[in-house]
Amino acid sequence: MLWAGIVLPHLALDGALRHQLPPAPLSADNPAASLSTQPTGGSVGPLELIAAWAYRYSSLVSLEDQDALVLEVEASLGLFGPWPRFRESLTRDLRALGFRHRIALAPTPLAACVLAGAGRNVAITRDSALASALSSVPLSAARLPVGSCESLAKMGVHTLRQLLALPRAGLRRRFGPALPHHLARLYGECPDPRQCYQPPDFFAARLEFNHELVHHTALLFPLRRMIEDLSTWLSRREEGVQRFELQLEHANRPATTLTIGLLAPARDAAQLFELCRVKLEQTMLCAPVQGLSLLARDLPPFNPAPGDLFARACGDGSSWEILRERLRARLGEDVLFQLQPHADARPERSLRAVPVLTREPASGAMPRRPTWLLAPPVPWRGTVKGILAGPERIESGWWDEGDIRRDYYVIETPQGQRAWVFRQAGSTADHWMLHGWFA
Amino acid sequence: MIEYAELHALSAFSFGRGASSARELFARAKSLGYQALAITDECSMAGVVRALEASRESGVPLITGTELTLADGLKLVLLAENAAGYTNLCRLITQGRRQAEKGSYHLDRADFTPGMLGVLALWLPACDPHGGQPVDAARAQGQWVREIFGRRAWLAVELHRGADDEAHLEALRALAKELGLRCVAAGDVHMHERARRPVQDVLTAIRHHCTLEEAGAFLFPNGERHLRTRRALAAIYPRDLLAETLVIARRCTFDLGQLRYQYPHELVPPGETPTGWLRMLTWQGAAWRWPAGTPPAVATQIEHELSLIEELGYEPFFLTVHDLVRHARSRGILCQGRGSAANSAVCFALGVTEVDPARHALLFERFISRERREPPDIDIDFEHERREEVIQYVYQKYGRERAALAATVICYRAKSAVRDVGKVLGLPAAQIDVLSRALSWWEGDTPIDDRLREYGIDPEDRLIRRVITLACALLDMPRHLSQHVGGFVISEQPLHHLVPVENAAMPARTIIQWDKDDLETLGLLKVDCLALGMLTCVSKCLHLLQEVRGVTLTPATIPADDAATYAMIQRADTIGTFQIESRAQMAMLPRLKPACFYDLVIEVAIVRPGPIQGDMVHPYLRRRQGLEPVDYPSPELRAVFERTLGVPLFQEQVMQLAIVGAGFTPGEADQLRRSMAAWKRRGGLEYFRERIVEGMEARGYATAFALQVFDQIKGFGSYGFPESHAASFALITYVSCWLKCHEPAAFTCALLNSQPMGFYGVDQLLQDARRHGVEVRPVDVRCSDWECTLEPRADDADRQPAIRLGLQQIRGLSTTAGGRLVEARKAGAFRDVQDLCLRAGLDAKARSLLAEAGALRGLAGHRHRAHWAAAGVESSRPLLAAAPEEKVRLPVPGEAANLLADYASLGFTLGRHPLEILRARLKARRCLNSRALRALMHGTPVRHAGLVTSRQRPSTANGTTFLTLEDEHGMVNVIVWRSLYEQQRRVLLESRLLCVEGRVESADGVQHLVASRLHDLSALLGELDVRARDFH
Repeated sequence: MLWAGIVLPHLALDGALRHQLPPAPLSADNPAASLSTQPTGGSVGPLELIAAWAYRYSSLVSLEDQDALVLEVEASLGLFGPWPRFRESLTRDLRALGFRHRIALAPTPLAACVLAGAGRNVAITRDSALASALSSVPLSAARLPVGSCESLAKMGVHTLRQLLALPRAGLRRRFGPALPHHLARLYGECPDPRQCYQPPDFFAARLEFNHELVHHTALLFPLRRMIEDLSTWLSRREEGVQRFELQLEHANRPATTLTIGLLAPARDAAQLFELCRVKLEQTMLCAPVQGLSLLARDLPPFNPAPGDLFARACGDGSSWEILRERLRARLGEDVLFQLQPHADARPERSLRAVPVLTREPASGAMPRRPTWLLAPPVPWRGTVKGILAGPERIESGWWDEGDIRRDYYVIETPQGQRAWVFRQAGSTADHWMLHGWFA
Repeated sequence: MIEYAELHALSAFSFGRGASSARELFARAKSLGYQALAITDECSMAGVVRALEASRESGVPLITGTELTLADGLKLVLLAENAAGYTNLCRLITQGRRQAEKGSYHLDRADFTPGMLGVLALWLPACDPHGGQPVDAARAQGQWVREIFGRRAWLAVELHRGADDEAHLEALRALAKELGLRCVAAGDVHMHERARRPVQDVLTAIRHHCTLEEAGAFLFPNGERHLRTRRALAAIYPRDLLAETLVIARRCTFDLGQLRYQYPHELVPPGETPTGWLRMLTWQGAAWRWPAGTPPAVATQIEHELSLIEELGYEPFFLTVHDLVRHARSRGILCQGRGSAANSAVCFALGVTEVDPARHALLFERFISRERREPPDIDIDFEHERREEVIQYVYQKYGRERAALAATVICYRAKSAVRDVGKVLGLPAAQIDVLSRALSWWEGDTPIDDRLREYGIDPEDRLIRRVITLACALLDMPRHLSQHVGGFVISEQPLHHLVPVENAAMPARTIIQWDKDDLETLGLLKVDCLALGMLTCVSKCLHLLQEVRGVTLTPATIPADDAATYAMIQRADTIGTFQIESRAQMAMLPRLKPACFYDLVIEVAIVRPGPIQGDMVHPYLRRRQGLEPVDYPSPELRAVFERTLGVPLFQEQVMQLAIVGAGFTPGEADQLRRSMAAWKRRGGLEYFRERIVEGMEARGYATAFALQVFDQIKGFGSYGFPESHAASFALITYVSCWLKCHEPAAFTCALLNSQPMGFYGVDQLLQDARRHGVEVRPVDVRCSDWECTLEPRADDADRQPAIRLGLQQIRGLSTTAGGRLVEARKAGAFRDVQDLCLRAGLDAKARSLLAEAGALRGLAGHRHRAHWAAAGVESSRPLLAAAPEEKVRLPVPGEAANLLADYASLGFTLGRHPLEILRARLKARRCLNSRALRALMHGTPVRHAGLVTSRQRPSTANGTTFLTLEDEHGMVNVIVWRSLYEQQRRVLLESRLLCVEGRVESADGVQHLVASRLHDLSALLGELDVRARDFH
């Protein structure tokens, strides 16, 4: 077997800077299609992406450490070869993907990685040539077990040639079995069984229609079926879905993509379908639909609420969670909020809007405050029948340009209403400001 | 108008709560016409002495008290009615503090005994924080308070314009009635005036470790917790509640100033009086000092001193000091006293100091003065590695109840203030770092806008402005209590009768809540047990001499006035010696040319910020060199200044100047001394300015001269050095110099074993020793001990022995591994590395460290082979002798590789100096070495390159940076003026190997290189681990 080693020295950086990947035709059963969708949630690292890409060229792809991978190419040479051309395709793709890389060819996977990492642009096809190709490689590039390189440097051993000259028994005694084994694998003296890359799991389904559909309602039936499939698939895997995409395929124009996102993972078919339905109803169909596909990649583990044997059925979607999701789906993700008490002496800042139910409401005593707080306060033009409480002095907020110094009073109006009014602290003038009404 | 006394006020010593000093509180109370002011810091008496001072200053009576919150939430203010009550409070606070971590306290109801004689209690009922209504638990609390304190309990009503004060007041009154308690008004004062509100808010947020934004729940909703006008109080509180404050204030008659304490009795044997015993010990000592009979002048001096000591009742203090010194001597711990009282004939006779009154008569003018009643001042320095033994002796002898360390009040400095304020105002961490760097050493007294811009901070930015304004307000506010470096207070009664005792950060240490100024104000005596590294070194050196050279010496028997030693000092060949080894000192030595002991006293005192800022150095040098006539404005002043050629160098001289020249009483002069120490903080020198100028004019001195004197005093600031300290230090300086001059090997060896200390690192000390012909032998497992040792020279026993470096020098090697190695070797020499590692039980890390340091050379060969051998050690001895291992061939490490390994593992090399290796390349760049440089004439332009071993930018030097460069022949001092610093800042600060183009300046045997251009040559060093030691 012959192995191509690909070392990506700047993997993390390149992965972060990666611009748009080359387009690939969408088809649910082509793993490479995964590259055309944005990886979500950051769960797929750049090395996995590269592995998925390499899978196009070989069925034996194996990751090596955090920065390299090897693929068996002898079997694929017929298809993509000869090597110089094969190599060129690899390089072209990687360049397009935006990854800096080094490639070498060698009879053992480890040697391929080591040579690539050492910057040797070589293609070793015969076992006999391997030793001489490796001899001048510095140990720092030899991918030795952790720590051995530093220890060997202290003994004055810096290259593979020097290392090979040392007695293996002596090495085993000093570094344990890992180092001699590493050498044996490197030089092909022993087999190097590797765990092969498996493309990741995701849910994809696609339906092609016999005729073009022009109404939402016609889409609902196939959609419901797809969602049910998804739901079944998810429960089998103990997973939920947090975000998925629907694509409406058209004849002569790009597909319409609908992204459905949830606050928490779910897998209940009715709930998921309801969300899709709402989203679909909001969408103007720009053209007749020929096909429908669903792709779900963001599949976190799902811990279902324990089913209650005696629970009343609430399948009508009236529970709070469903209402919340429906409101968000209809109105937008950030229009829903809740008020929460905030510790600040200034009445204007004693309540805060926070995203809905992200935190438990704070408990703790609140001072007596009017139910209805005016924003901003307005001059008080009425008469005062009597002062019920006060002055309550509030001086606070010098640190954020919102400094106030006020004396607050609870007053009663001739109509029997109770109002919250203030004037400048210490002032005795009759300039009242109305700040709120008590219920 | 209605009268009022405030019974509940926190000063800044309620850390993180009180926002005003006692001085501010009392000044405001005075101007508002309060009848009295209670300082009730939370579970603390730390601020009470300052409060006493402020009370005396303002005339408003002080009530001593404390605020306590029990573990169950019950909150009380306790006031001391009389001395018994004060003692009860101290006991309670001590109990609360000792039961909790440093900085906090824990008290339960069980800690209160019924009665609490002499204590008045104000109960603060727990209330719903917003509605102001007492909570249900309050009733039970009140009943308990009533039980414990009976008729001495009140319910304190504190109204601060909350949501509904009227309802609150009514509810509290009803509660009091139900419980049968009287109500009294109180203010819960946290600041002296409303304008302190921002500072109080900031302190609160700091205390809760959050930003102001997040601190809402902890901040007060308004600024009412200040000392309010009596008119405002009358509008809020009913008359009877205000009148009740006076009833309580009148009952509190305790006066802190009356506090007295007694010395421990056990220092005097039964049947003896302290006076008689001290006299006996003194004359006994005199007989030991002068076997041939005490010189008559000294005998008179002793009699004079003894009578003064008796008159002032200071015998127990001298007996305490004597006891400590005697104990240290008996354990072979070197020690020496210093301070005004230490330089007395009595102390010399008692063995507290070695400064001989017969030889140094002029030092003994200031002893203790009758008029000042100033407590005698004696600090005792002990070997730094053995001081703990002395401290533990004190604890053992007197018990923890009766002996404790004094506290040091840690105050906000610019850096800490900016950090804390920046954090609570939400300044990003990176910006806080920059800001605190920009403000390091800033004292709040100079404009800083330009400095901020230099660091890329916009001083106009509102947030930055706010941070700085508030940081300024925090400057010098107390932040927490820490332990004093060594000041002990010992008393006959348990200390907590006198002052609360709390836990220090160090385990098994306790501190009292007062600092040294507080002790002084109250006239309590403390003994300072300090740690001094050089004493450790001297002690170790003397032991080595005895062991290896068979010479028995003590500091007292080292020959005085040794010409060779002074010659060495005059050459500034003083690396490693005490006090005169720094760059600045070494630059001074060839000019001052010390030739006798008193010259050393001056040398020690002159290179200090005080004399430098007071511009006293150059006049003194010119006069000494005869370039300027020595004149005295009057015969009286001649007597004061003659020994320093008319230039004031010592603190004592400034005081005498004030007495003789400006007519101060000794007491006033002492005040001047204290104000000098604190004027930057508290101001208040202006008053003395008028006194001095008027006084001197009245005595016929020119106004200009008087003003000049005043400026010098100001320049002295807090840095003035007392002659009495300088004298004791100079003695140690002389001893260290004599040892370096005559026994360089032993001296260097002892220095290495006392590290870290002093100005130089191991590398420089070793280079210096080798330049003086001392052989240094590498670390070797076959012969090295843990510490460095001396090995006699086989060829010539008279020559200086060689220094064998100790295993201690190997970075990262643990003491235990080293100890096992030395122990194992006693059973027989090691055969090979395997034998060594098995017998000494060395783990892989220790083996590798030994190999890396070259310590296995004797067993395994060069470093690479040593590593191979060390890594091949098998963890247990095989039952059958295994077949010998195959021989391996490993390359011999090169010189550069060895150098790198040496620096990484030891921090120095015994091989060639790195610059010697690089010399050819430096020569190509036309760089002269330091030896060639020394031969150059003044004014020669030159290039020189060296490793940067230190960078200093002293605040006294006006932006000048001093660099020390080192090459294979020694050190070169470089001066970089401010303008070049600004142009080449990065090169200057970041180079490890620096090339300097400049001009040689030599005068009086001192040579400097004044830089005109700098080049960074660090790239030549590769990865040499030669890090500069920066002193900023």
